[in-house]
Amino acid sequence: MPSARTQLSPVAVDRIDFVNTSAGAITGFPAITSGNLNTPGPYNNPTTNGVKHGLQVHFHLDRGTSSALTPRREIQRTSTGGSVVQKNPPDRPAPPGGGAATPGGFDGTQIGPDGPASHEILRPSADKIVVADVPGFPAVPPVNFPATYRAHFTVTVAAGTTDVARIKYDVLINKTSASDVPNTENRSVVTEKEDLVRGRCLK
Amino acid sequence: MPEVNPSAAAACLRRFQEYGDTEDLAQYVRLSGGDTARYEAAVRLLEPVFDPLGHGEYPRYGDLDRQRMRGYEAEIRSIAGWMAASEKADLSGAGTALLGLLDAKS
Repeated sequence: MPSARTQLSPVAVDRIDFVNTSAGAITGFPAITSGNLNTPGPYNNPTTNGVKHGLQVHFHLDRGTSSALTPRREIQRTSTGGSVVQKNPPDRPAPPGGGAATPGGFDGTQIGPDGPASHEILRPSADKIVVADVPGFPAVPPVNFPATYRAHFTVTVAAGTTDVARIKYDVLINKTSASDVPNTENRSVVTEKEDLVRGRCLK
Repeated sequence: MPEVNPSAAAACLRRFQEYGDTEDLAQYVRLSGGDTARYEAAVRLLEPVFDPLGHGEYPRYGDLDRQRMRGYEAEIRSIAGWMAASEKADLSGAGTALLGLLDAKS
C-alpha cells in the first residue's frame, strides 16, 4: 500500500545515473577555471600538474517536472598537498571555557554545504535534472606532491521543502608526482542511492 | 619597490580571470602599483572563498569574517569585481556573490 508521502508527492525520481566517464555524459555546461563539467572522469593538466575528477549525477523523474526540483550538495573533504592538510568543512575549535573541538574533513563529524552553483545544474528535459562537479586540484606545485583529495558527497534533490531523492558518493584522488599519470588513484564510487518518496533504494 | 608595468599587469589579471590562481592576482597588484600588503590581507580574509574554489567546490560564504572585511572593503570589492568579470562560470559566480554580500551589508 502506498504511503501518504507517495500519494501526496507530485514529483518522484525512479532512477539516478552516476556518470564518471564520457559514456552517457551530457554537454551544455559552461567553461570553468579548471577541468570540464562536460567530460567526466579523471582530469590531469600537464601544464599545472593539476588533478581533478569530473562527474555528473543524472536524476530521472517518473512523476512531475525537473523544474520543480532543486539540488543541494554537501561535502566532507580532506586534501593534502605535501605536509599541508586542508579540510572542508574545517575543524571547529573548542568553544571558549571548555568543550571539545569538532573535527571536520573526510573523517570528521561536520558536514558542509557545497552548492551546487547554478552553472553546475542543467535540466536537459522535463524528466531529467543533472548536477555536475569537478573536484580536485587545479594546480599542484612540485613541493606539494603527493597530493591527495578524499571527499564524501551527498546530493539531494528537493521539491520545495520535501526531499525527493538522494545519492551519496566518494571522490578519491592520489597523485604522487607530476609524472604519476594515470594517477595512483583517481576514482569516484557510489555508496547509496535513495528514492525518498517511496522509501526505497535505487539501482 | 617593483616597477609598474601595465602590460605585464594586464596579462597577470587575465591569467587570474582564466585560472583563478591568487598568485596571479598578487602579481597583478604588484605590477600595477597597488598596496600589496593590503591586497594580501584581503585575499587571506577571502580564504573561505578561495580555498573551496581552488578545490572545485562551493565557497563557504558563511565563514567569511564580515567584520574584518569592512577594514578592507575597497580591496575586496576590487577583487570581487575582477572575479565577476571572468568568463569562467565558477570564478564569475563567486565574484558576483561576493559583490552581492558587500552591497547587502552597506
